[in-house]
Amino acid sequence: MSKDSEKLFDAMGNIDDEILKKTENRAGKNKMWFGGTSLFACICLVAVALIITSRNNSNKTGNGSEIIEAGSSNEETNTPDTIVNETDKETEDETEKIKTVRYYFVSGYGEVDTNKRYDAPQNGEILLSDGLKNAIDDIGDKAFYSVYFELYKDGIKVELNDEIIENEMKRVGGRYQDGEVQSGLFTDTKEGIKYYSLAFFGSREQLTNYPSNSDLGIIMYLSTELMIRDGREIVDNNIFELDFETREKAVVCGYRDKRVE
Amino acid sequence: MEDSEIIRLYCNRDEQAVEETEKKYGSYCFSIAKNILGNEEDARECLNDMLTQAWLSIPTHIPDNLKFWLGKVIRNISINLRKKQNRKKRHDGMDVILSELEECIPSGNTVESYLESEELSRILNMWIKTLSDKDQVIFVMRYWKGVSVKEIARHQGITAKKVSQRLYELRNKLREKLEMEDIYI
Repeated sequence: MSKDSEKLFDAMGNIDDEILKKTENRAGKNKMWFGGTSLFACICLVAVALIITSRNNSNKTGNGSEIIEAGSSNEETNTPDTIVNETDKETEDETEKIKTVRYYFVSGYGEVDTNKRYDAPQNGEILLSDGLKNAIDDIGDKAFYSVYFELYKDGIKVELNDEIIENEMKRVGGRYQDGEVQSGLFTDTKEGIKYYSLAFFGSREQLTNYPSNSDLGIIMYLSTELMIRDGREIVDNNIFELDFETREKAVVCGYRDKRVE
Repeated sequence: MEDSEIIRLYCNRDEQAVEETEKKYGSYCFSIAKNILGNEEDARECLNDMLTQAWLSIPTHIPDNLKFWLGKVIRNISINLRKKQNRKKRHDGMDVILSELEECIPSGNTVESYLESEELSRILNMWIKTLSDKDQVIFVMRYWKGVSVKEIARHQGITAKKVSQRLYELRNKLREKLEMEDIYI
């Protein structure tokens, strides 16, 4: 190892704040929706919100910012289709109009029955929790979903570990269509317990067509549904309710603005 | 608490400034130190040194961006501590980062003219700005924050292999840039 590489590493220390800010924002976005700790934090507060938020019809978010409706569904494409934002972006020689669609990630829906236990799925079978089923039935393609998996082998629940998660991620290639499969290792700071999670973020169509695993059974839960049921730690982060004009108000752990042509 | 409020506390020589700084940016800075040093004890020591430095520096120097300024301070403190520990107790992760950066060094030149660190930083900044947003994130996470490839992959929702491959391509690009600029480090 030469001093040259150290010098290069040192020189990286004087990187512009502008670059750091930009990368931090982008990294933060990914972290929020697809990462571990923040997602966990996000999800945990959803639990609080589920408990403490009153069900009013106000068009305001839990943290006071204005809600932008997710929009009507598009039966053909199965994606939310409301253009929520149009911005001008300066390119080298022209001004380009950027259109984006806002995709909300529903992570909680309705009351959670903490005593509810589902029958173990057989290998190759995929079950959806009540919360997830209700959300999909009611909200459909107006949003995306933040989902946690429980895995079963020969009818017995499997404790997640690096190997199991990696195999599952490899099996679906880390991604499935435009959906994202993610894993995380979380620490409950109160209890000091570490645990893994296997999460999926995707549309109704992606969820309902998620490829089954002939070696494992899967139960899919809305992420907060599982967190609340398992009594996991609640920590602070920004989550909010969103009214999709359904029988229950959905809790949303974030959104992603996706560019559309 | 807003950064401006924290800075106001520093300016008033209120020790709560240090508490608030640690509360708001402690874990961010700690992770940078830990990535560089590889152990929590040393990282904690660097965090304490950083808080002391913040106390001594502000208000003489008012940072434009408190978070990144603190990040840079702890990064420098951590690098210096690591140098002090001097090769004996090298942290594997840091060694790997340095060996990766070795690939960016233009070859075939004797080190005759040394580039000043500031000039090198200027070129690096210019080069990073030419990268796509995603590449910027990957490169900065790895070589500014010292984040592991696996963690970047998790963060970015891509496989570790893809991150390694992308970093390899970026290092090559940087080497080409340095060669093109006729730069000897």
